[in-house]
Amino acid sequence: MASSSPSPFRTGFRNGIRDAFGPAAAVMTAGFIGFGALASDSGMPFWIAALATALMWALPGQIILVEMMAAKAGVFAIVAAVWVSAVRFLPTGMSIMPMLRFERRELLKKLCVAQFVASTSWVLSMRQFPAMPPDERAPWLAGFGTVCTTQGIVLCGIGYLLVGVVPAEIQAGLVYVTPIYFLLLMFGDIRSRAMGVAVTGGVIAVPLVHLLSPQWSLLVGGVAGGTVAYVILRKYPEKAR
Amino acid sequence: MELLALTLLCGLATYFWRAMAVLLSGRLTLDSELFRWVECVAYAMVAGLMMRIVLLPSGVLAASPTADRVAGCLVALAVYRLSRRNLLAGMAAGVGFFVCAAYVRLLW
Repeated sequence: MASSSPSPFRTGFRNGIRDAFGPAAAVMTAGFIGFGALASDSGMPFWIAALATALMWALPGQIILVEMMAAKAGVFAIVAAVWVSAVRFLPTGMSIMPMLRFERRELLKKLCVAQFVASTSWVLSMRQFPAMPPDERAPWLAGFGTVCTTQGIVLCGIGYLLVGVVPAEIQAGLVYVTPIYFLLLMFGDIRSRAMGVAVTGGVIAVPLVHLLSPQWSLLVGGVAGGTVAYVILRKYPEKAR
Repeated sequence: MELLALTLLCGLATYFWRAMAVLLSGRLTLDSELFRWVECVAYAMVAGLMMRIVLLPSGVLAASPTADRVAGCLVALAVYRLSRRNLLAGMAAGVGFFVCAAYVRLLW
């Protein structure tokens, strides 16, 4: 415990729960309904989709799992692609951790809170932490993350069930939510030229490799497209705008 | 059983980076060149996956015309930009367009 009084923990946790029902969560809603629909359409059992949401808590990785499973890719290829897709948690996690206050020898607690580092919580943490007392930050993240994960599982279930009961046109629309969601997140909000070049590289390379080998398209296309993007960026470094 | 093992492995693979962030935070600065390359690959992979779902889908999406799927993306992007980056508005427009297009084709 950070201090003898339990109050920073309770305040932080409670605020985290409250924020999990805010606008950031509304955006996530569509993403997880889409994931449930995609999982159902790809023949993934519901409990696996729910388990993936609870354990991975990273939508891009979850979609990679669904899609590659459907494409009958091997275990190694799937785990490798998921592993690469989660690299973003290293910089996001490393930027959040120093803002949290822990006692010495609280590594276990740190490792638990780390599970809730995700894109949505990172964006919100960076915005809210400066105004939040340091003692309340880790509990906030835990409260926010727990509720968001629970919502994610419920929403994934809703998406999963909806696919079975609505007409084919709406079914297709539900599955279509996923690419639109990420398209807007990535293409619509390109913050740096590096991101733009890398996104373009993947957009061209992955479908091309898919025509040759569906099982390896993500890994081979991603590495090829990303490497070309990296080389282009090294040759033509970003100029000051 | 195999699915369960696969899902657990994917969970571990994802958590690996979160744990690394805890262990390395404050101790190590990232080798920026290596990290930039990995970041490029990660972006390319996720963007490429979405493009693959749009251009070469399997399942229920495969029954829809490619033109509808591509047009829906363009509508979503346009509305997103016009609505000052409102994610929900962009998504509603793109998905709405796609579903409406399917019904219009049905009526024709």
